[in-house]
Amino acid sequence: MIEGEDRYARLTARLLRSAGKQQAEISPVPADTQRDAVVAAMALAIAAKARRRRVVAASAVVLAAAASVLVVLKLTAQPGLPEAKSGGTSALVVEYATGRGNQLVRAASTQPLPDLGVLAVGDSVRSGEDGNAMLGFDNGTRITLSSAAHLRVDALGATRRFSLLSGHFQAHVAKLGQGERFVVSTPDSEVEVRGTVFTVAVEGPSSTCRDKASRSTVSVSEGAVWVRSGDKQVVLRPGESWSTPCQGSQGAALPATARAEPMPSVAPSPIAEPVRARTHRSATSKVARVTGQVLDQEELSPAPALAPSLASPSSVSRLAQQNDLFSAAMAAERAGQHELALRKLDELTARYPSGPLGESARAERQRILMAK
Amino acid sequence: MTKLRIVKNGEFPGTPEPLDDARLVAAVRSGNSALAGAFYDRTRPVLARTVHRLLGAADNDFDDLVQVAAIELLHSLDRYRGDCSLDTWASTIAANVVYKHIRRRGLERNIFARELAPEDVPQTAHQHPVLRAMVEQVMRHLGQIVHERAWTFLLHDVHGYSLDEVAGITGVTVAAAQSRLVRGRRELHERIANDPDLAGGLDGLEDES
Repeated sequence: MIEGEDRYARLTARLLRSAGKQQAEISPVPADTQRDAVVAAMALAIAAKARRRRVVAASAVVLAAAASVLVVLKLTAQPGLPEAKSGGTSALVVEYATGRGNQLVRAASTQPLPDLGVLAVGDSVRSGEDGNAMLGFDNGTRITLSSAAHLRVDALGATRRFSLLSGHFQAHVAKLGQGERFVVSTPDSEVEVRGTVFTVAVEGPSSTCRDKASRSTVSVSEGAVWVRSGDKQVVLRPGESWSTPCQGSQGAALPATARAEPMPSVAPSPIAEPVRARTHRSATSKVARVTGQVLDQEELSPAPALAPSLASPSSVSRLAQQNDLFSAAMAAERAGQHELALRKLDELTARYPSGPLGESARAERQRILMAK
Repeated sequence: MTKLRIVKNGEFPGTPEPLDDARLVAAVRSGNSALAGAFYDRTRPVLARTVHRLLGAADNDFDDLVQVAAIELLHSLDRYRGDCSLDTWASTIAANVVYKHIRRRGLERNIFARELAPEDVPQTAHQHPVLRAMVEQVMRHLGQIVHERAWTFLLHDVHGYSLDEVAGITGVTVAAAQSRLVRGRRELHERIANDPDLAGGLDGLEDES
């Protein structure tokens, strides 16, 4: 017995389904009277699509070449501006810089940060006290430097690596291709993403901590970010953030003389980091929730009091090893060593069946098998 | 004496194995136009069945819409990730083609009459006059409620498309599709509840089943 405020709607649906089923039985789908014409149209559409794809690819190559030439001409016509890079690397362009004091540091010389300038490995960008800058890759990845930030470009190949020396930036990383990486190093940690929006900040010594080292804060808006600090690694999800553990967070309550005393030797426990972060909220952090997922606890011996809150063994994995396996598989595939690539992917899925790269590994395996 | 034996498909040398869906889609996607016929033969039944169910076979546009759906299906292959079967994907594409066709031609009010035209209702024994009258009344009510809600109700509750698929067909979010479904059901229920003849007929049908 059907009840509820949509009773008659459900009875109606049952009536129509029943009638439709019988209708299908008594009036079968009409025979195909124009198969040849439709097949010919589809063949044309398939061919046109393939042709269009080739034209688009060729046009993209031509446009990219023309754009490169134009950029090179523009840059070489203006002395002092950086030259475009070429040869297997991604072009990182200063899309715009606003405010005053934005600088490009190249080979120990400093010059104003040029709009549309192309950055090279080794370059550093310093945003002014009231300035900011947006850097962009052609795949849509954008890095927005806030004021008084200092970012160095360390690599622009398949692995794009940056060092944030001070200040903070927000990055919107487009989905990366096979074998590509996007890594940001700070003085005390390393951040790796595969397509996300996140913020990294490096702050000076905190008055609330007993140590005098600068600290990093990572906040994630979209996607997932892996943060490595020392031999620890955490995964941050949207809305989460991570800060370098403040060793001796009680320091703020201690007198100045006490803060100068040697720090107690406290190895930062990965599970303790988020807990500490709750009490040591960065002044610039706007994140309301701080959590983290421990990934490499196999090497850790947590204090008994912390043990119950640790992740279960089944959730433990070594992300760096997964990265390495996946990267090795992709490198083998690019080199034409399909069997080796399959073995690596199989190893990855066997050892880390529920790891974050498991789905990608299975998809790649399927793709390789289909291509063979 | 000649002996006959059963052979499996592909056992004879030179007999090509039929392509499975994944390989067929991959080949078409890569631009192999020689497989247009195979792709059409593979997908035409579900395309035609969907158009037939939503528009009616007697519609003048039936053949054209099946062809349009076939071409649309080709163009949609780049978005097909294999998350559902090729049949489900093709059915959703065909339903979207019909939906757009109906909207473009301003036939929203007529579609429900075409959906189950009285002459198509099975003439089963003594139920025939009752069923015909009930279906006509149902169609009249469906034609009077907001057509997006009526379509959502029809696609989901009658034709069995999931909310995700209904959202894709009608070009809205899943949340919007769900809202339309809930409101459409409620509106239809209220209309029928205020129609004692139809409500009584539906109650009687439920008792019989």
